[in-house]
Amino acid sequence: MSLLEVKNLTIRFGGLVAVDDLSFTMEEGQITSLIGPNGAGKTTVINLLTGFYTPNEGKVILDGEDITGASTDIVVSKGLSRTFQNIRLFSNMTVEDNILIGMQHRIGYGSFLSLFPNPKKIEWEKRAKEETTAILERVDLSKYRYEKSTSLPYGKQRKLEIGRALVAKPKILLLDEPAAGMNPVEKKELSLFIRSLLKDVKGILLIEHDMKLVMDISDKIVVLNHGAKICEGKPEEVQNNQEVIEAYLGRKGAHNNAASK
Amino acid sequence: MKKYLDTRTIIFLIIMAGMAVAPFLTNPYQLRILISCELNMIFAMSLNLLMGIGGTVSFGHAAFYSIGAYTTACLWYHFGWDYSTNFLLVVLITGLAGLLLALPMSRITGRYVTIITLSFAEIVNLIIRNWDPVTLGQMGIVGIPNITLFGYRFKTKIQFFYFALIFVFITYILMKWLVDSKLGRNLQAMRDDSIAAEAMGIRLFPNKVIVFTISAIFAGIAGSLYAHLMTYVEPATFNANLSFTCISIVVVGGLGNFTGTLIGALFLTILPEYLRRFDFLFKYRMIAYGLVLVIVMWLNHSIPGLKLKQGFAAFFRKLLHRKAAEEEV
Repeated sequence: MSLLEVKNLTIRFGGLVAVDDLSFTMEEGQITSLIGPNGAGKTTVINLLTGFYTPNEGKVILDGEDITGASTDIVVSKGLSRTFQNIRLFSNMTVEDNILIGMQHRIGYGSFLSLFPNPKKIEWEKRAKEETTAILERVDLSKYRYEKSTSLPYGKQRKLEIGRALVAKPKILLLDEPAAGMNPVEKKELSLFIRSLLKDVKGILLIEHDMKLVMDISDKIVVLNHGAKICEGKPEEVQNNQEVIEAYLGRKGAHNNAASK
Repeated sequence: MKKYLDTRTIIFLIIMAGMAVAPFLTNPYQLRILISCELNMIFAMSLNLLMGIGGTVSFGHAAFYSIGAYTTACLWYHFGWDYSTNFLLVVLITGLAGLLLALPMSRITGRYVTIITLSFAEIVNLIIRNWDPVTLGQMGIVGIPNITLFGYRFKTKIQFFYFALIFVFITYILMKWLVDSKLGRNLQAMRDDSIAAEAMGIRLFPNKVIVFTISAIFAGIAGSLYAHLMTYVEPATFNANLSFTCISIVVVGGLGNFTGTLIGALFLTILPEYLRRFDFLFKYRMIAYGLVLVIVMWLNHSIPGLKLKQGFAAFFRKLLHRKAAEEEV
């Protein structure tokens, strides 16, 4: 059984078919990448998986459980956690609090018990602080614990966002363009870091524009164009696929590319 | 590092200690102003929960204040009940009012919320004005006695002062507990970025309802104390000015900073009373409120602590720069 199964997923915004009959699977212990030209519908797919949009047709099956059209809070508790293309940290909160928000669905006391001190709250807060310490160690941000999140440098903010998604203990981590705006050295470091995340989660779904990074770390690549899947396979298979080259370079460009080889 | 006793808590304790000895140092007139301060503290802290933590700018917070005031006044007038029972009904009714106002929040966000709060306050005021059999309409309810607890009637304003002080203390502590909990963190997350908060599995609407309800309850409590302090209530008191004064206090003190709210309440309650002796200044006190608001917004949203210093420094630097720039031209 696959870790994540996406079957015939379709969503229409008015007349526009943003995602068209998309099917793919993710296997355990693998990094799956979703690539495609701008406007291909990659982020829409993430929004569909995480419950921000409800698909018109199709199914999403996570580890044997149907989560199609479930609301975001249910999706998170079932084990899908995401980061954002443009970093979305809680800007007026500390690094620690940002991490604590990431694990809020696992903290086992509710709104009423929040209002006054009680054994349950104290115990959970203690556990939460311990886990925060561990996760900050993991993403290498321990010394920034009480800093405001937006005061961190850009690369650290990315890591904090990943830490925030990681602390939710997801089965699958969805990374939406984690390398955007990074320099080559940072990208190199990031790709090693992403690879190492497979120790913490069962699978990673990566959306990325940086082809070098994608080709380096992906086990499997799904290529989208105009909302539809045009190719799926190992990096080397995708690289040589005529349709993929056409989607990125255009028909004429693809022709020139072939000629120059 | 995070310490157990941070600066804000220490300032809070100093204010509380100062308030506790104040009745021995003041004349009745000053004591009355201090009681108004206490009511404004509770009122503004409730708004700060909604604005600073919940991220909802409410222009109609006076609605809950007036509901609280009228609930206890009407119960006294029609049934002669004492404050111990009235208090429970104040909590219940203002809580329900808060819940009612929160219901549209499932559909609207941002500035539209502000418009809704503004109109909600107007609706509440119109109901109070015109529901003659219950609220006595324009006449108002006169002769409300001092607070009575389980048959014991407070005899002096000093007792009232300490009773209200207990409420200030409880409100502050509750707010502090709330902010440092899962609920408080979730609310702040929603304030900073509702989409990211949703992605972390926070359900926005239930949290909105909770924060509106709690905020409304404390505003209602402040209002109910007001009715017993003033001994009369009339619809004209609870106009938009009251809401704006409350917002001024919160903004002067700093959004999300409850210690700041206490200081803001002291400042903005005592200042107009002081200005009363200069007749022409008192007339224009609303302009002064506006000015204070603008200046404080400019000075980085917060008075207590370091920010003020930085704010003033920046302010003078700006002034100097402007001068230098003008001279160059």
